[in-house]
Amino acid sequence: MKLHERHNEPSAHVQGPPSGNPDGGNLERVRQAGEHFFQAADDAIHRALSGNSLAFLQATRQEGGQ
Amino acid sequence: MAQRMFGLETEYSLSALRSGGTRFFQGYTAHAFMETARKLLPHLPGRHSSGFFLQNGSRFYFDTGGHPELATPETVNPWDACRYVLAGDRMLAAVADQLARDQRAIGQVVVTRGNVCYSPGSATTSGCHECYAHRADLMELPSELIPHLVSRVIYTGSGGFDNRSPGIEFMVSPRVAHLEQVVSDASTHARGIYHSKNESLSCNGFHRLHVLCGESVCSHTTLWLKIAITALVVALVEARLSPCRAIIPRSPLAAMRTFAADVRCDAKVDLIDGRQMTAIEMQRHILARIEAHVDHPVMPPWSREACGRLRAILDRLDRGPGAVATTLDWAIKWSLYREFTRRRGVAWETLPDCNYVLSRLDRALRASNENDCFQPLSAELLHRRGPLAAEIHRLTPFMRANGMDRDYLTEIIALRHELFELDTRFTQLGDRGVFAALDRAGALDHALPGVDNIEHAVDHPPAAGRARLRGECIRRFHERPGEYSCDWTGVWDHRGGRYLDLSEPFVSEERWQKTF
Repeated sequence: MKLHERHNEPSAHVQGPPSGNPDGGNLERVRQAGEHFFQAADDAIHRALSGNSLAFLQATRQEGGQ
Repeated sequence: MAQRMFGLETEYSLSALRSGGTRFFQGYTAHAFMETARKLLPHLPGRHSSGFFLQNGSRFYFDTGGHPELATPETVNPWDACRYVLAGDRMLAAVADQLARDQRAIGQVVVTRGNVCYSPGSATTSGCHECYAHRADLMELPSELIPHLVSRVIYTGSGGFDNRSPGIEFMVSPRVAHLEQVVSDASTHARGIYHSKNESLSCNGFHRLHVLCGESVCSHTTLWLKIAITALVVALVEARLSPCRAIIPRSPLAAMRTFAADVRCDAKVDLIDGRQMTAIEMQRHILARIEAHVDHPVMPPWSREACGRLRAILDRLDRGPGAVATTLDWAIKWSLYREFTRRRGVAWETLPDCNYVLSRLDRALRASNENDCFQPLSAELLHRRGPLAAEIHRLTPFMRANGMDRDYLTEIIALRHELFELDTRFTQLGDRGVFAALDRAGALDHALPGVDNIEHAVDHPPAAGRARLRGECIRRFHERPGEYSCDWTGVWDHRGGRYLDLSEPFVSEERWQKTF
């Protein structure tokens, strides 16, 4: 696991939020918005996940829609 | 300027779970949910259709596969279309809360707007259908509309995972994996990009285009653009202004799959005239066609604003997925799931290698499955002597070269389940939904001015069109059970022996007629 991660670490940088063009004086605002996004995501994910994802997926099985 | 009319049908998934996590029998849950909705939501019963009509002009019912579905009232602008989708969410969240309060054995009622089911062995899909009233030539419509439906996924896609893959394959539009034909009249199998169903529900030459390749989305920007731009393309076809004739893909299904898997939005597909185009280029062509005719009599008053919003999104998509990662559904998810995966110790870019191994193992498992009973890949199967041992032995050089072993694959399978739960929870109604939580925290920039006052849309119909008359009747008559019934095309007063004809979509006056 760790070996695999190390092999691929250089390409693992997150490209992502926020939107906007990260140049010049905008960069710091962009970085802060990115941090805010991932902090909010951490909280949301922590609250959302059940702790037993396979059991949750089995319990929420749906028959086909249209 | 003309008015366009459209609405959306959202398919929800519904599960009632005990506090221990096990589920109630689905038939029981559906019945209990329907009865709770009947008590909670003022309505008139459907006359010819199942379910009932609500005081904001929408229809609530259970559809194929036993899932709840809410069809918005007919609306004449994309802001209202968004508002009534959100009003539907709010009503169903209230029904779910009420059901959980009424029945103490239920620990949790999970209602989501997910587009694919990730339960092992399920591989099913549900979506969000769009309806557009039009008078276009039905022979022209498919070829003119398909290039738009194929390329719009770059801003309409919900994001998610291919639930038919044994690996972790992110898609801009996961429902595309379930489309099997270019044109089809089927809706539960052999689905097509273009659904040829032609059930007008109107008079005076109106047809109703029923788009079923679309997905439920949470971003207001995504939803607004999906409705607005598709309505404008339909308007151009109606006026015979050929919005897409110059950009017909050589293989529409292959093109759509290419775009649905391409988060960079720079993949090119072959057109029938020999050129190649990206989805962004195809949408820019459509944008130019709309802008060229923005003052045409078939176009609605909001056409110019729609052009500006589409141009802004295409410009941002040109800069890559990071530029829309707090705005469009698929890009929000892409960013979120990449980071989640990284924090689990796995680089997103290595997933294709894992998917290759998992696909080989899944194939070996299926080949060894003599009684054709579905068995998903699991940690137990990876580690015990059995049908996978020989295939793992053959894969060992590849796995070693890429830093994988059985323990690593076990972790990937666990990560897959977590990501699938996360994607299911993303659209969950109520406080536990991930999108809702991100929005509450102010981490997104998807909202649009005018997509607001949702409380009002819960109780009141749109201000224009037949939905206004339908909704007003329901508000007046819902407390007189048995006397009235309702449908898309009319309201019936059984005791008074009269009938309100709503078959003209833009009817504005309430004129009752005697029934015979």
